[in-house]
Amino acid sequence: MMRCTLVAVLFLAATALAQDMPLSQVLIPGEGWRAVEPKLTVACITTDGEGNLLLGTKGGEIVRLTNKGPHEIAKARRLTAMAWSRDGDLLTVEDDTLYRRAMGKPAKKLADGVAQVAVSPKGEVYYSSGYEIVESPESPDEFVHRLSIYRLGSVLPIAEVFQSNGALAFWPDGGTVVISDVGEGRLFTYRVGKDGTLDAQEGYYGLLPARRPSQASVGGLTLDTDGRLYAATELGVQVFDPTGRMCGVILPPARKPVTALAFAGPARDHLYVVCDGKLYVRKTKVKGFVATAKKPGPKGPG
Amino acid sequence: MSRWFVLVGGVFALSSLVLAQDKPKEKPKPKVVYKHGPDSEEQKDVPRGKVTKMPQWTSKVFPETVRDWWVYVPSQYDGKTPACVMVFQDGEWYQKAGGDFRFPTVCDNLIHQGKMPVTIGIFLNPGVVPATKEGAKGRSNRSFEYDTLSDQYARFLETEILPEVAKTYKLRTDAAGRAIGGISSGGICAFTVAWQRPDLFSKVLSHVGSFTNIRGGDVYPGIIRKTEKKPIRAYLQDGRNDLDNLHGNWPLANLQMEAALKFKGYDYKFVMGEEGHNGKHGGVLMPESLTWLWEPEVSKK
Repeated sequence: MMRCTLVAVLFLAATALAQDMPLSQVLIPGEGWRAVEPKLTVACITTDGEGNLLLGTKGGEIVRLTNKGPHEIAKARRLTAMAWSRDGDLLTVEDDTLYRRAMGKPAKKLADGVAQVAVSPKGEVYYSSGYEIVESPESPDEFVHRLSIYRLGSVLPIAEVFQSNGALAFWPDGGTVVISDVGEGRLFTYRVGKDGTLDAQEGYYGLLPARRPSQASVGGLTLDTDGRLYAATELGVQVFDPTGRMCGVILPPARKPVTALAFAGPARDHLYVVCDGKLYVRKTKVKGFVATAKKPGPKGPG
Repeated sequence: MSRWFVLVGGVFALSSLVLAQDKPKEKPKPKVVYKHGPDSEEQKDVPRGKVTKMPQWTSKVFPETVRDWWVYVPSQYDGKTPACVMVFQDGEWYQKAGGDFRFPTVCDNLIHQGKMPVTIGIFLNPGVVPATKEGAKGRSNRSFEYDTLSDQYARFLETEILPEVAKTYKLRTDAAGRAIGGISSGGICAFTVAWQRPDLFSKVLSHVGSFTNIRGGDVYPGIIRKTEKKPIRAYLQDGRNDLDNLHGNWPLANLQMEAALKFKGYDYKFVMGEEGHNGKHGGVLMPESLTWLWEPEVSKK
């Protein structure tokens, strides 16, 4: 009992006075952004189980980037989001529709009206719906855009957020999911229950306000293995520590919003971002968390 | 050749001597050691209050968070007269016997000496959203609860904790009868509660308070200067060796707070010591700071 109390007190003191996670723990001095495949106009990116970057171009090509260069692996419709599944398939959002793309098979439609998609460490697929116009919960006379978060296979939305493009990402332990809600200027966290449902909503991460409100959206979210959260925003990549405190802002490669981001590379220590439709990369000191990294897919999208 | 050598060598030796005289060898400063005084130690002839660990609290204001908490009741509490209230963030630290702050012991001594009113202490740990998923860790809500500049924590106290304690004990409901304190982010939280709801809490005790840009708390000095004075009495403590990191410089931030409170004519006391980001100096100062903080209530009698 005494030992438990001592441990609890030490833990509390350590937590209370925890030291911080400055950007110097992430960025390598002298290492800046480097343009990658500048001829491509990129819409979205994700990482496969082996650490290769997959990118969807605005022309609808799905390209795998390996150390031998880009390799087109499929043609798609208008791509807006992608995620790699635990089964080694590629999940794509094309023309607001969610598809599963497996090697040698036609794309399989999974859901309509989808904005973003993410895979939990457990392998469950979550996606955010496109906007619906509904009555405001606070004022019945007003209407707001509603965006819902669904789990693949579930009938009802499991959480509702407002005024968002619904970018989502899971903490490495799978117990918390982060969902963007830029109307609030915050990123919300939800607890992930045993059955996959979401509760305990909190505006956990405070975003710096965008210079132009029209560009106040979060293009994507990702995490590293230490639990830092990286949000693609107009100001650049906003980085937060696991307690929700801001570590800093990584400046964008160009004077345009960062619209997507992902860690990739064999060690997953290269941070890729999309800025003004162009792909950029910089090596970091950290290792990106890739939910599907433990089981590299035997198959590839096709 | 040898003449030049002597000349250059002589000039070099002279300049070294001059420089040496300009920069006298600094003696290392003796490390300041803060030691608890008798008012922080249990005294034989002083009746002791009782600290009770309460059942874990599940909050609605901070959805699904749970937290440990304790209540201290002094032996002088008679069950009829409403007692003053003092709330602490990171409460386990403040109530711990033999720890830095030792609030129950200090309170026993000061109430016995008539330097403090009969005061019930409420010690709250920060909330945690416990994981329900296997292998997942709970989500600490500490920074969100303490560093956010909103009225959410004040609402949590007003609608959840104070009514719960009031079910068992008669408490003062006026702001003059209530104080709130904390360390680090818990210190800025205490100030935020009083700033947002001076109708609820009028007394603030801040130890190495994080008036820095963790979640925008560095704006307080500017806001204080430009806002009509609020009925807040504050005791702030910091140390010259406190943090200087990505969120800001703690000593400078606390000096800015002091300057703003002074500029606006607030009822405050500021103590700058030599310690770092810890409770050593603030803990030793507890008798002095509580005596100062509660003096208006004591002098009313």
